[in-house]
Amino acid sequence: MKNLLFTIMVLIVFSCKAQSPIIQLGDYSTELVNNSYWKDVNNEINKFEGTWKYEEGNAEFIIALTKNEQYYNGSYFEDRIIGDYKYVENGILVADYLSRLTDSSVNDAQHYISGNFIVSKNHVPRCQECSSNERRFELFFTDPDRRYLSSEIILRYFIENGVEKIKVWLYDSDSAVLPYEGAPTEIRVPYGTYIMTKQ
Amino acid sequence: MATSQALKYLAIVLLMLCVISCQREDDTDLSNDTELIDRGFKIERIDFNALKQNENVLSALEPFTNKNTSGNELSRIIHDSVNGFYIDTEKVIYIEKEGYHSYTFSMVPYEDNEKIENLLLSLQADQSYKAFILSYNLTDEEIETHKEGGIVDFTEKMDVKSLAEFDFENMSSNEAARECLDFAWIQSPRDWGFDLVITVVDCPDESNNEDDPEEIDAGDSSTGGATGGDSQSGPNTGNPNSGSTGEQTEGDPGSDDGSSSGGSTNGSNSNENNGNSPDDNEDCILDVDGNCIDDTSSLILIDDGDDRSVDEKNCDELQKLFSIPNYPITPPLKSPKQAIAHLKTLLDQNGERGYSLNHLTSNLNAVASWISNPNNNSIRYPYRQNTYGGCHSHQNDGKGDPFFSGQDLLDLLQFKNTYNNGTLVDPSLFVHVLVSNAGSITNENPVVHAIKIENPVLLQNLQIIVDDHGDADNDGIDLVLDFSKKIKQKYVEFEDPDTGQPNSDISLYQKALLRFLNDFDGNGSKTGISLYKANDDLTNWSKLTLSENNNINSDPCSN
Repeated sequence: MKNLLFTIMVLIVFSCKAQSPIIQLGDYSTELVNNSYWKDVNNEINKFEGTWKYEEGNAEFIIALTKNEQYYNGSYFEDRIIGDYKYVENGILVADYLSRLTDSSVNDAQHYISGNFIVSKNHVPRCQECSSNERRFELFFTDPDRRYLSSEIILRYFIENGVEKIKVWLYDSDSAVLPYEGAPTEIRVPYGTYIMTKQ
Repeated sequence: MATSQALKYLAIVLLMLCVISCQREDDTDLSNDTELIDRGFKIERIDFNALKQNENVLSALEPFTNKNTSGNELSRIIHDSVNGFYIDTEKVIYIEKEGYHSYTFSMVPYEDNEKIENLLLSLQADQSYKAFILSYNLTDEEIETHKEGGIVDFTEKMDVKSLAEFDFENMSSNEAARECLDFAWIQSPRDWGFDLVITVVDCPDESNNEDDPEEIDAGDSSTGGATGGDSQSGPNTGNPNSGSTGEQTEGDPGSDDGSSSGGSTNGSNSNENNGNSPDDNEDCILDVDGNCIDDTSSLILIDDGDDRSVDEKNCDELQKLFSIPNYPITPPLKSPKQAIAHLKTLLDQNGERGYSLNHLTSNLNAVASWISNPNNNSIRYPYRQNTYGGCHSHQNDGKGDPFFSGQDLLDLLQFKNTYNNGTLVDPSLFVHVLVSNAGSITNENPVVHAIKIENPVLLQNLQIIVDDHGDADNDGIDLVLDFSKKIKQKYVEFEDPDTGQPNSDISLYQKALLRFLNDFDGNGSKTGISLYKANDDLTNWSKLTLSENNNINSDPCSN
């Protein structure tokens, strides 16, 4: 009996220790200790999954997004959006990385769109049309030819006339020391706002 | 066994002939090291450019450099982030004799370190270089005595690591090579210095105690005990000429079978006393008489005549930003102080504004150059080799957090890497200044902060992060995005969800950044960056630190 009790106690202790704290995405006040899980508890990411297309004149901007669950960043686990994109300008293909999203040789950290920051309507760039409690996602956006330039996108999901759409704010997000004289100061996809329709 | 083989012929004779203090005024004439010269050695200080002429040396130094770095890799020779030092390529002693030469580098610690450490690259017969770290544990009195040409007994004050078998990625934890060596100082009867004799002893990778003829064991080598010994390093090696650097009075000179211990017995031409044929060792470089020329070094003291601490240096450099220049500055250039003051008035504009802080190439005067940034939200510092820092604003428009971003931190490293093509200069020069408002949409409360390099070795480690953009090492983690995200995550917490405005309490951001600087990955990794805040009238800086009870300590640079 004594041994049984001891065994149960040990199991309880170990089972308690093995549990990692789950913290809801968008909760920034709880410390993300090592091996915790920043989880998309309410599945807010799911509606952004899919391929989204912007088209105007000779410009075409397509992004493909998917949910990346329990990605380990070296400290803790997290649910994220990952994706890749294609951009055509004046009928000329500028960048096409869409196939990378399903390429098994590309690991989860190597996609050109990634992130999981949930931001409010007033987080800049602000969203005038957003409802007061609407949550958007802020993600890193990488131009692999100009990695020294930090860029981000903010995504807002909405339905217009029964059609699923996202609004994308693409902007330069951080400082940079240019790596050589005359280095471009902008990524190849123009900064700006894009309304994209789900494909 | 590889270790044993690699060390089989290891022998160092360190010729303590000179102490090179690194004061600029006396850094040229090493020709007074007459004892070395008397024995046919040429000794001179060489500069970085001369060092670069030798491709083999560059190759030998490769393990010390950070991989995948742009620019001049040699300028950032970094070794052992745990122990925290870098190799100063501007303090190089070149020793040459006939077909032999060596390079000795000063290893500069950035935290208090009782030891003086030199890196020796010594040419071998196959034209490769063996690397050794020579560590001297000297008292101030001994250093002073040595500087003044007096005799210091280095016995028990010296440690040598052969780097031949080291895992350079984990050098500090690898004791294998150290344990393969034994060493002893032998005081020369002459008044110029000491001989260091290195011998091979049991290596830790040999689990048995049997006497393996192919293995260098203690019994095989001529250890010579505390009183010295020849530089004999194993059977049939007979490294005879350690005595050429001084006399010894005890010890067997070593023998071809390696079974005896002892030291060389005589002075300048000990090969006649060691019982070995000079040609026994075919792995050494021979002089014209057929004698081995041992690995030879000369102590470099770290003494640049600057007793200031890192914090004091950083403060002095920061104060220079606020000093009134005693040289003319032609508009549109400004003084750094004018530039910072100007940015304080621009916080209500859209998009970051900024200046690069440059040294004029003609006279090295410090000036601030306006950065035209019409189309970007974020500042783009131009690539210039005379840029030692930058100052920029985070606007009231809320597009940026009111404090340093992850990339702002990494920019400090970029300034260091770019300046003067990355050639080592005092790291206290580099600075990144941020002008922002503490959560206000008006210009009521502009604050000026700066980040400085507190530990360049730790900062340089961030290069690994920079180089991992896009998960270049394919380990499933993009370190640069992770770095940026983790600091951003801390800031987002303070944002008012209703207004999107940053918190007006700047100390929240200061604390968050300080915690991040001291542990950026959750595993206790430090950035090597320190944080400073300027006073309102731009006359003084204070270093900010976090106390144990999570309060901000403010330590003024100038009281």
